Formats: sequence, structure tokens, C-alpha cells
Amino acid sequence: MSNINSNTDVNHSNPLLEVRSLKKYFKVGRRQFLKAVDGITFHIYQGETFGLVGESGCGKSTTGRAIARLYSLTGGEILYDGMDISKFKGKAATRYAFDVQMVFQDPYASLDPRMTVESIVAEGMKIHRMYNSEQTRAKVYELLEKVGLNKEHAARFPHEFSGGQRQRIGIARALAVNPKFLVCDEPVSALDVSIQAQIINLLRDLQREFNLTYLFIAHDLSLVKYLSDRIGVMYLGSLLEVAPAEELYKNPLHPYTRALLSAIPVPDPAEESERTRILLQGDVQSPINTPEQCKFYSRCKYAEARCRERIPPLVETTEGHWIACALNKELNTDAYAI
Amino acid sequence: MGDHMLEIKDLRVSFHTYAGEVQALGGINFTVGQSEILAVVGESGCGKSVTAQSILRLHNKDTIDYKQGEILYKGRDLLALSEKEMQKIRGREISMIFQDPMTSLNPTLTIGKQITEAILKHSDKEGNSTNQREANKQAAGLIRSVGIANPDLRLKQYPHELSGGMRQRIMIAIAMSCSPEILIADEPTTALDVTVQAQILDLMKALQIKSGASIVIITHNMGVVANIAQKVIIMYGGVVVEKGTSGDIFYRPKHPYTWGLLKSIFRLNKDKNEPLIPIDGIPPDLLAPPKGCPFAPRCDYAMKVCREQMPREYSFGSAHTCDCWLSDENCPLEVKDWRNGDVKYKQ
Ligand SMILES: Nc1ncnc2c1ncn2[C@@H]1O[C@H](COP(=O)(O)OP(=O)(O)OP(=O)(O)O)[C@@H](O)[C@H]1O
Ligand SMILES: Nc1ncnc2c1ncn2[C@@H]1O[C@H](COP(=O)(O)OP(=O)(O)OP(=O)(O)O)[C@@H](O)[C@H]1O
Ligand code: SF4
Ligand SMILES: [Mg+2]
Ligand SMILES: [Mg+2]
Repeated sequence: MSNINSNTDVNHSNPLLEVRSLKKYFKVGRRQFLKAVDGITFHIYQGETFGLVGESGCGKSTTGRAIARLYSLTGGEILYDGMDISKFKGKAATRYAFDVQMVFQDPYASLDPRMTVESIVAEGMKIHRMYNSEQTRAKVYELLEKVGLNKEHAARFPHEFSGGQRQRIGIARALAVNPKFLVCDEPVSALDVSIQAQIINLLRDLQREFNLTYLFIAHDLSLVKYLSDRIGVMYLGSLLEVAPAEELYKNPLHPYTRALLSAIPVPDPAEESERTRILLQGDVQSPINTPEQCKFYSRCKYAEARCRERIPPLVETTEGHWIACALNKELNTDAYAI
Repeated sequence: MGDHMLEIKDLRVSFHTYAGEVQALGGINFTVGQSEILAVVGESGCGKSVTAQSILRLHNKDTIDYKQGEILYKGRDLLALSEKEMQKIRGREISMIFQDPMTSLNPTLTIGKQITEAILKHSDKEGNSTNQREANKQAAGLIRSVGIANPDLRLKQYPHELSGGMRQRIMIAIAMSCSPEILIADEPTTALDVTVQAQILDLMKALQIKSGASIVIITHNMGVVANIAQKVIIMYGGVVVEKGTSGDIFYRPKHPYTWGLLKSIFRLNKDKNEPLIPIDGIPPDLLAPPKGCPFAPRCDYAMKVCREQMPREYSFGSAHTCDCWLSDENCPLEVKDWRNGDVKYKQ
């Protein structure tokens, strides 16, 4: 595979993280459950970037937060290096808290406005008593330079920075504890295009330098495709398709992925005027007490009786290309060609 | 030039704040033709919303200062109208859709109530008396026209019971309920998913074709621009740096900021090995805008003159203009290929 990550070694025999039948329900009423994540399975190899895309509210952040151990699970398990993360205690829990860091969407809300940049970046190192104060300061300066800021910025407060600069501070904070795995939850969605590219380049460089593994969450498929080795497409708590980035773009199989790809406007007027869109019928369903059937049922033009029998499991149709659709391999036939 | 629906002439707008004078618009010019779709593009804080809100004079009188210029709507200067005259224009002749439909819909009233109110208010002004029953019927029709099924149920619901996409479609329905001459849409799809975004864009195009309205759409998504716009203006740091047809901007761009914008966007068909080329640095502080070209601190081509003097507007063909010293015939630099940054000195 030729891709931007060719400098990092993706170890395909060794999944760093395995998510198995993960469920996270939120109780929202007496007998009402919001099924934010409803039984998803995927794995992420050491050194790779796994992109997670999908509409607002489909459960991407909930998945990321579950991986960061911010939630107790309703069902399923998450394995890190083969070990169940819910069983981590004491040293193992601390180790995991070092290894797995999050970078958030909103660079404004995720930084404490009363703390200086230095104390924000140093916080993790201090909590975990990693270095003495001199070493800590040196490390902060080093990190600030790594993310394109400098030591003059250390004494300043978050409000004195632009959105892109604040996101750099957030990344420096995440890197401070020498993590192995970054959950990047929409790290550039709040930024301007020209600034987005700065941050994406930074994340790519850091990945190479530190051999990091990324779960990259975003709703912008063009961006996710550019950055990821493999991509998972979510819809209403289900993972509907997983494939290598190029493959997903060239040969989307799931009816939802096809509609999604056809809906993304391309920045070229001539191409745009010639494209045909797959328009979706109906509206996004409520995630509350969703029935045990394909989540895309209400909007799918191929919907039929077997789609309601159960939530279709994710199955491999061709090597590395997985879909969760009752029609399964038939989608690859002429009858269902786009 | 009599066929312009809207003509903005040398508009300068400032806000007086505790921190000082924010020079939000530094003298902008553009026109919108009859049933034309114009896209306004630019980074956060460059003045897109201020431009849109100035047209409808939505700002608080105490802070805003219209320092100079005219906003001509069918030849009449909106800045010279009284508040009462302005009210007749708002919503009826020029409608606006805001980025966040939640803030512009009243959370305590049903959707039906809000739409029928708009209908009744306008029929009053027109002098026809529509009764509640007819208004309800019209409201259901409007909701259906923006692609929402089950209109009778939806009319009884409150804004929070609808998805973001549905709320935005309702806003469009309300905005279109009085067939405005101009529809101004400030980032109407930014908060929405791409599948819903595609529906909204189709809807706006259909309305433009059907009712002949002119549309001004503010966005920072170049894909949306390519999809819907006939003309485009590119803003940077409170000024218009380039404008032209959609083809001019995408295929024959002249301004270094437009080049940077086109180089830094993610494309689905982009090769991963092709590096992303960001624009380094950050946008100017409008409390103290630079003396010369606002893009000079981030521009790869900036010359001495750029930092000292604001470039004038240079024309290329009928509608295409660019405010950049590179366009001057005396400019010593020649940009051979902006994609590769290939620059030469003219001998
Ligand atoms: N603490 C909570 N309590 C109740 N519901 C929640 C909670 N957190 C998330 N949800 C709901 O779970 C669903 C999934 O939310 P999540 O934040 O994971 O979506 P997302 O895919 O990240 O969306 P976005 O693109 O908007 O960030 C949504 O319907 C959301 O409203
Ligand atoms: N009411 C106000 N008081 C003071 N300054 C203001 C006010 N409204 C806008 N500004 C300033 O004017 C400039 C232009 O703002 P504007 O809202 O037009 O930006 P924009 O291009 O719409 O950006 P965005 O893409 O973030 O919506 C900004 O520097 C902003 O801070
Ligand atoms: S005027 Fe000068 S600084 Fe401004 S865009 Fe043109 S070359 Fe760059
Ligand atoms: Mg999220
Ligand atoms: Mg705005």
C-alpha cells in the first residue's frame, strides 16, 4: 500500500487495540435507552491510522471516549495489547492512562482558561511525577517547539492564541506523557481550511517521529481518507463498513457509504455539475430504543424484509473489506451496481 | 449596470469595542445580479457575517459604525433608510437564514405557529387578509416543498424535537414563505451532514430557478461553492481580495490567498503522497490591520510594496478582479505556476 504512513511501520500481525461488540447505551428516560454505540467491532494495528467517519450523533465520540476509559461499557470489550482494559487496575491503569491520550475537537473548551500554557502542557507530567521541575520545564519547551510554538508562549494564557495555536497546545499536552495511541476526536473541525492543513501535517509528522497509532474521528470523509490507512463508516451506533482508505473510496459497497460518498461536494465546478447524487429518503432516525434491525433501514433504497431480522453483523466480503448489510455479497453484483 | 439586485460600494464598517476599533470591513465592493447565486468565501473572522448582517442592518446601533459606502438594493441605498422602511424590506424582500437554526427559531412555539405567523404578517402587509385556516394550509405546503414528510405532524412539534437538518429546512421554508427577492444564507449547511447538505443545496437551487430569487451564500467549503455558485467573492482580513465567476476562481485564480486556499483543501481524489500545503501563519488582527495588503504577512510572494501600500483592484475580463500587487504591470515578479510556487523575476 502506498500511503503517507509508509514511514511508520504498520504491524499487520499485531492489533494494538481490539474493539469487540462494543455497546454503550445512555439511559434517557424511565425505559428509554439511547443506543449511542450498538455492538461495533474493529481493530487498529500498531502504527496505523484508523479513521472513523459518520453523521453527527452516530457514536464516534462515544467510541473514542470508551477507548479512553471515560465510560463504563454497556456490553462488549476493548482489548489493548491483548488485555481487557476494563480489568486494568493500579499500575496497569496508570500505564494505560499514559499510553492513550485524547485530542479534542474544541480547542477553546478543552483548555483551562486560568492556566498558563506551561502548566497545561506540564499537568500530566506532574500528576504522574515523571520529571523534576527543571526537567519538566525543559520538556515543555521541547514539546512547544515540536508542535510549532516556542518557549515564549509558555507563560501565556489560552485566550491569547488563535484556534490553530490552541489545538497545537492541546496536542503538546497529549504528547507530554509519551503516549503510544492518540484518539483524535475531530481535531480540526473547528479550524479554517488553511489552518486545518497545518495541524494535519503536524499530526502526520509526529506520527512518524514517535511511531504513534491514531484513531482519527471526523465527519469529513475527504480529510479522513487523506490521513487514514483504513476507515470505518458509522451510522446510528452501528459500524456499517470497514475497508482500506483507497478501497473504500474506489469501491464503496454499503448503500450508506455510497450515498455518503456521492454527497460530498468536490471543489471543482465542472466535476460537480456532472456528478449524480444518491439522494437519501427520509430523515435520520432517533437513536432512542432503536429496533434490532439494520439502522439504515428507514433510508435505504434497497430495504427489504431480511434487513429487519437482526442488526446485520460486519462480515468480510473481500480481503480487508467488511460490510454490515443483510444483502451482504449481493451488493457486489450488477443488480446493486451504482 | 441597472440590472443589479444588490450593489455594495466601498463599504467600510467598524465596531467600537473596549479593546478599540475593530475595522471589520475595509472598503468592499461587489454586486449581485438578478437570480444569481453568489458565494462569499473566507476564513473565520474575515467579515463574511458582518457583510451579510450589514445588508439587513441587523447590528446593534450603539456598537456598529458604517463609516463609508453604500448598499444599493435595486438602486436604493439601504444605509439611508429609516428603521421603519428597513423593517418592510427585512424578511419580505430580503430574507436571511442563519448558521444555527436553533437560535433563530423560537423554542417555545411550535413550528406551525412560527410559520403561520410569518405568513399572516406578510399577507397583512400585502393588504390581503389570509385567515388562520389558509395560513395552516400554506404552511403545510411550504414544509412539504422543502422535502419534509408528514407536515401535519411536524407543524405540531417544537424546534428541539426536530433534527438539525429539518430545522434548517424549516428556516428555509420560513425565509421563502414571502418569496423574497434576495435570500442571504450564512453558512446554512455548516452544522449539517453531507447527505443533508446535498438536499439543502438542491433545495436552494430549485427555489432560485422557480422564484428567480438572488441568493448570497456564505460558506468556507469550496465544495459547496463549486456545487452552487455562479459568482464567487473571496474575502480576507475585511476586504474582498478576488472576485469572479466560479470558473475564474477555480480555474484561473489570481490572488495568492485564493491559491493557498485551493492548495490546502482536502480532495477525495487527492493522492496521499501529494503533500498538503497549508498557508502558514494566522489571519490579521482587525483591531490593528496591517497598513498594506492584509495577506502580506502570510504571503509567499510579498514584496516591499505589499507591506506598505494596499494594492488596488485589477481587472481581468468582465467580472474577474484581484487586489494584489502581483497583478500590476510594473510588478517585477512573474508567477509561472502557482501550484508549484514557480516564480521568476521579469528581466
Ligand atoms: N452523556 C450522554 N448522555 C446521553 N446521551 C448521550 C451522551 N453522550 C452522547 N449521547 C448521545 O449519544 C449519541 C452519540 O453521540 P456521540 O457524541 O458519540 O456522536 P458523534 O458521532 O461523536 O457526533 P458528532 O459528530 O456530533 O460529534 C448522540 O445521540 C448523543 O446525543
Ligand atoms: N458585534 C461585534 N462587535 C465587535 N466586533 C465584531 C462584532 N461582530 C463581528 N466583529 C468582528 O468583526 C470581524 C468579522 O467578523 P465576522 O463575524 O463577519 O466574521 P466571519 O467572516 O463571518 O467569520 P466566521 O467564519 O467565523 O463566521 C471579526 O474580527 C469579529 O471579531
Ligand atoms: S499584494 Fe503582495 S502580499 Fe498581498 S497577496 Fe499580492 S503579493 Fe501577496
Ligand atoms: Mg463527536
Ligand atoms: Mg460568520
